[in-house]
Amino acid sequence: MPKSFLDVKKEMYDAISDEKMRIGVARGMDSYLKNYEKVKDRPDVVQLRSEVKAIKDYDVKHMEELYKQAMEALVRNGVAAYYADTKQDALETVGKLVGTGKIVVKSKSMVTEELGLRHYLQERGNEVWETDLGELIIQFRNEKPAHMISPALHVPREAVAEVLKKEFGRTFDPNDLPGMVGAVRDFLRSKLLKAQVGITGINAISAMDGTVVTVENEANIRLTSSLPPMNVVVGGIEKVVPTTLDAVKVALLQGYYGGSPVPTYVNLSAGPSGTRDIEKTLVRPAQGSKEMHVVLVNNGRLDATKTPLWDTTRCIRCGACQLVCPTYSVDGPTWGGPTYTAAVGLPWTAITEGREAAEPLSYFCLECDACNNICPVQIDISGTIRWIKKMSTEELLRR
Amino acid sequence: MPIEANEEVVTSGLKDALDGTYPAARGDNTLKSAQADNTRILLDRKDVFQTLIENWKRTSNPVGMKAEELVAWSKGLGLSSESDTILYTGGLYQMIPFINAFVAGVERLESTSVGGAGFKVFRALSSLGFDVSSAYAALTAGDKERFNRIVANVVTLLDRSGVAVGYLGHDELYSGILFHDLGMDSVFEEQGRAVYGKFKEHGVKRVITMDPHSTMALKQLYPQFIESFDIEVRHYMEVVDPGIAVTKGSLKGQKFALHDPCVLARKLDLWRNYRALLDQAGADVVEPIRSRSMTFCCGGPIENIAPKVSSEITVKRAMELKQAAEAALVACPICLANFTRVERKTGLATFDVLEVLR
Repeated sequence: MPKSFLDVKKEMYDAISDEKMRIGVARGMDSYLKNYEKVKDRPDVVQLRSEVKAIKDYDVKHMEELYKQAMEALVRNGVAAYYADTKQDALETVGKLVGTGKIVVKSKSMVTEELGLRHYLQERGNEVWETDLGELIIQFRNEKPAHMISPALHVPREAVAEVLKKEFGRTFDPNDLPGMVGAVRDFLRSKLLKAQVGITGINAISAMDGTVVTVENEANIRLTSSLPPMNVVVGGIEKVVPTTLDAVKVALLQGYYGGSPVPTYVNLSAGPSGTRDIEKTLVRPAQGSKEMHVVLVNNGRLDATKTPLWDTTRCIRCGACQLVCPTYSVDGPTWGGPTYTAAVGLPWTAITEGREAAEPLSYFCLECDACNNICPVQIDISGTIRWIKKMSTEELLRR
Repeated sequence: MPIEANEEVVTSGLKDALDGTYPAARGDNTLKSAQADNTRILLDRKDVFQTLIENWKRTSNPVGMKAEELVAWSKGLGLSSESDTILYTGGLYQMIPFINAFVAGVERLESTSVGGAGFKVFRALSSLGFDVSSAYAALTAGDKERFNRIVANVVTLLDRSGVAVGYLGHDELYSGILFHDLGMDSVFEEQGRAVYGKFKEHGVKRVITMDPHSTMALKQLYPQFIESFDIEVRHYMEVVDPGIAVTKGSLKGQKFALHDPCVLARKLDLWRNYRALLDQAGADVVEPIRSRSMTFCCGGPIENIAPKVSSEITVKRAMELKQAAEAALVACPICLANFTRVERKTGLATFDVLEVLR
């Protein structure tokens, strides 16, 4: 049952006084600005923007053909490839692969949040651990992500210390950030070594080679995809780009605009690990995963290409738009749907949950174009939100 | 426990909520769709939309401002209504005191704490409607004079730049832009066609605008649904000669934090012109955090539909501007309205660039 405008208005009014959230979001927005200044005028980044825009423009027009090509390439690489049309299809596909009674580690993937994958697997008797620090914090707090890149943006250090005390049973000094991160590292290391399944996401995937590209700073993605014997990769079909080089470009730009002037790791994975070092005979695994599965999820994206929401399918999930949004600065993740928050999060909510879920949210958009101004691929975010609002208002006035 | 309408609760509840400024009962159920949750009342979309549309039907603008009030600034200036170049005020500067009265009223209504009597008040209020005419009647001449003077100032600046303008007076209609912002496109387009019709009736070929929202409406939106739209639209900052502007009066020598209105800086890309005018006039301006095309919106566009969120954004921005200087400069009636409305809370004095230049 979608929320009414008044339901949302009440939540929006109440969220303003959530001081901890306000502090976390304000700190995040201010520090983002500094990182943005470092990359925005760099000639290579400016060049990358126009190249990636051209890639994503092509993607929108060829989404179906591209994902089919990617699936063929994956199979040629010895990777099992699946297309999941709906949320339920995706959940069942991954569910069958994992089974029950397993230890599962997973890295950050907004698509898996759309699906509610962690809860689904837990309900089927599996132990599931988020390996991205921000995601683990919100897993402990049982919340939705506050932002596309920084899921725990709304959790200041004092609250992190509190939740770690609860989960690990000892006291942490909120100002000892290395101490807290170190405790999480030790905890996750043992899970990573015991896990049978590692679920990872996709920043971009090459239609020609089936190569999956991800970008990160923590090293949790490369560990999650390599240590457990089974690697299940889950991503949206809009992530397919023509070539491997295109995929690296998209991932790098997402790193830069996501707030990392120099993204630490870029991973390219085209298949499970193997070696022919003994008599030229292929043996899997070598040092990494033994089997790799890729699940490409639709969940509204194909339909979106037929409406003004097509523009949003070009999104590279950098989250920059949210960090310059005035409404986000006072309301944080409350201004959003079950998975996506603020700015481009509103059209994403429309795509993945249906337009009615996004309609009440659209009235809190200022249409100030701060989002449009910063978007590296020039999505008309505020115009798309206004379209959602207009459809809703026209329907209301007709009643 | 049965809920009964209680006259006494209603009267005192209203008084507390509205400071005695909106006592009039209208009995047209415009608050029927509002919701009370035992502690406060929140206006629903329909409450707001219906009020704006009813005002528009009566007066052609969403705040219900009378035509005499809109044209009062031009008294004695002898501006012609038959010039092919006119100043289009858009009505927004003149509307500032009325907008503030309206928004402050809604804010007070929505922040009322009515305790356990919530539902009783709600039931009674819903039959009273929401009438702002008394609030407007309470505005002083002084409230209105400041903002009317701003409109006259732009004529002076244009005149000193060698640009003579006419003014359509009662035939200048509000652009309809608020309706566009709220998604009421059919109302917006009807109003747009009426505005254009008046231009054509008076043989207007060139329009000079003075606020970002009206400029965006005429320049960028009207051509989307008026196929034959052939009027040249320029914002005054594209027309005024920077060389002629000087700082003036009691604000000379004051240091200002320069706030870029979001529409001016981004949709209209006029932040350079804004600075050129001020530089040449020797004004003392400081760039705050988040300026130029990265400017932080004042919160104005959602002030009708969600005033509490809007004001919170305004206060946040005001505090940022205060870090740069004790006073701020803006170039938009909506920014000016918003920052002045929260001035008591923030201590930031705000002026329009048209109050500082001559």
